[in-house]
Amino acid sequence: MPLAVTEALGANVILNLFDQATHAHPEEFKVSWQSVWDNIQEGFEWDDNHFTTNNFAHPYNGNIFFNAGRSNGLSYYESMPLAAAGSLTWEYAGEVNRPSFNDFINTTVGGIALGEMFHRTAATIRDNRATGMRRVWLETAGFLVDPVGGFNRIFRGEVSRVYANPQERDPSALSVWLRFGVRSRGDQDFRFGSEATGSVTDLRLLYGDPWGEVKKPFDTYSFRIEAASADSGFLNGLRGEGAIVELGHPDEKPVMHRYLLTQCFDFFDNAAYQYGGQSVQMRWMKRWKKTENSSFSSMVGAQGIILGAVNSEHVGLTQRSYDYGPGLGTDVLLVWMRHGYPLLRGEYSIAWLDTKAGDNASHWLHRGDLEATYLFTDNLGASAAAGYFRRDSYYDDAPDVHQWSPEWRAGLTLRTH
Amino acid sequence: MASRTDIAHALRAGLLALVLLAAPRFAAAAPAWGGMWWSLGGAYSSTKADCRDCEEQEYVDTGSFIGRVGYAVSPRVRLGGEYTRTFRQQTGPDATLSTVSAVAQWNMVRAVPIIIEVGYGISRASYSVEENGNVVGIHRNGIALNLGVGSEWPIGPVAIGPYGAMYVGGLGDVQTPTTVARDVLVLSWFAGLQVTMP
Repeated sequence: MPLAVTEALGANVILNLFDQATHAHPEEFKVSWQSVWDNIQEGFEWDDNHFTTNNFAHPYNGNIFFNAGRSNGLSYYESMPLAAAGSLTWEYAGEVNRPSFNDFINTTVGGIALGEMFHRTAATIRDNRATGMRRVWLETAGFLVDPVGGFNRIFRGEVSRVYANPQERDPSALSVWLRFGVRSRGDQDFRFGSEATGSVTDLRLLYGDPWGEVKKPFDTYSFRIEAASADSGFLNGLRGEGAIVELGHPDEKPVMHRYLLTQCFDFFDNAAYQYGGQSVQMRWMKRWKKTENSSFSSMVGAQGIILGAVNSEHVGLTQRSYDYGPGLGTDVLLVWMRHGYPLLRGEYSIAWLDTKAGDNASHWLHRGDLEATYLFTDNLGASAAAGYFRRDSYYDDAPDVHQWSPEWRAGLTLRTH
Repeated sequence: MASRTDIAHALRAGLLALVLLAAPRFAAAAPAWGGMWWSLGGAYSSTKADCRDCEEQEYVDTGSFIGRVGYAVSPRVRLGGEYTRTFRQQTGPDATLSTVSAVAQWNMVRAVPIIIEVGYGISRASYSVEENGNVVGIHRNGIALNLGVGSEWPIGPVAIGPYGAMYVGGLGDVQTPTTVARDVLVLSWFAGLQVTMP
């Protein structure tokens, strides 16, 4: 526990010194007792940093604080306050600027979600029984996914010791999907031009059996990251969702129902909208198992968005071109599984955000995707997909905005499981 | 030169720190967390509102009420719900801030009965503005965040202890007597005593 706290707070000291040495405005990081006291007196504000900084970099930083706890033996629930404490101390004492309300929530809540997924992902990569160069490569890869955990392993001499693996290393199921190919995004008239066509890489990790028992938070989770060479930013999509608790575990039957409370992290950047959000979701899942090799499943979710950010036309701030607010959402996911992989997968989600900082507006976001996959061998296949993004922004003091963008993707698929 | 409010804040923070530092002697007698729990408390609170492009506002001091109920999911972690409300002032601005939140509490080191709390939920500001000579009551809902620290010292069947907390209400745009204040955040500091059962 003392080590976990020291590491979480020490990460802030290191980041502060790094920013003092490298940032374009180092004076913003020369903190003093007076600046801390001023921040306490003045209190939180909504900050105006760039979208990626606030909705990806801050949650990533929160994962460092959270994993200071996880890698020192604390549980998911016990590591939560470390994410909050690390975030709070950074906001009040890591920078001279006033503490940011949105940063605190994004760093804490996003850090918990990303942190638990990175902690478990790194555990599956590392192998405490491996030796030689294989061990070096696995430890290096694990370090990149979970730097704090990697640091602690070096500190404790675990990187070279041969001993039993943790329980997290062997989930009930594990599959990694890598898809790469071509993606094209169209305009509002559904025209697909060459300027929005390029390569796309999509990595998905499915940890744990989504129908297995959830004894601890994130015993099952899905994580997807998409990067592309054309249209919007390089990082186009990042979505993680992990089960926190289940409400009664069903018996194995041909038709099964289950209810899960999940935690979600979202980051999307496309021609129709930018969206970043922290949320919790109540999921109802149903599966029809027709034969040993064929099943059909559906998932319906009701989402409470703790804090979401969506691009907006009339914010009126220097750097920030997006609104912040809480909201609600829902989604439907239908999957036809054949021979243990999703032959056909369709999903549609809708989110509503009520602005509390930025324009006086409400935003509706739609996302739809239909994807077909065929595996030629156990590990190699092809996939094709069609997607759709839409934003409807309703402003009190300005004309409403409606934007949408269709896309198609096609390429090769690699699977390990 | 330090203002009267600065000194008041420093005294409250110092008093809370002193009490928390003295707390470990009570730790051994405190029962381990388990099952249902509830707590009620009262606090001295300092509240101010802030908004985009606004001038710095003064803190307004009032009393406040707090109530919580929940379930301990482990000997170190409690989950629950919380209601708080600041009282109206006898003089000055006619405004109150209420919050309804989901909260998590942690007692990370059993030997040190310091409890930290984080909560998130809905805030509601109620105030009045004058329109055409009439006083009109306005309510504005937003998000609520709270961060607190406290202690529990067993006395008979209950535990009594101090707590301090920061409540933030993100209300969005708010109508004032003269204009619309944009991106309003209300900040309220609580320092008080609570009774917890079991």
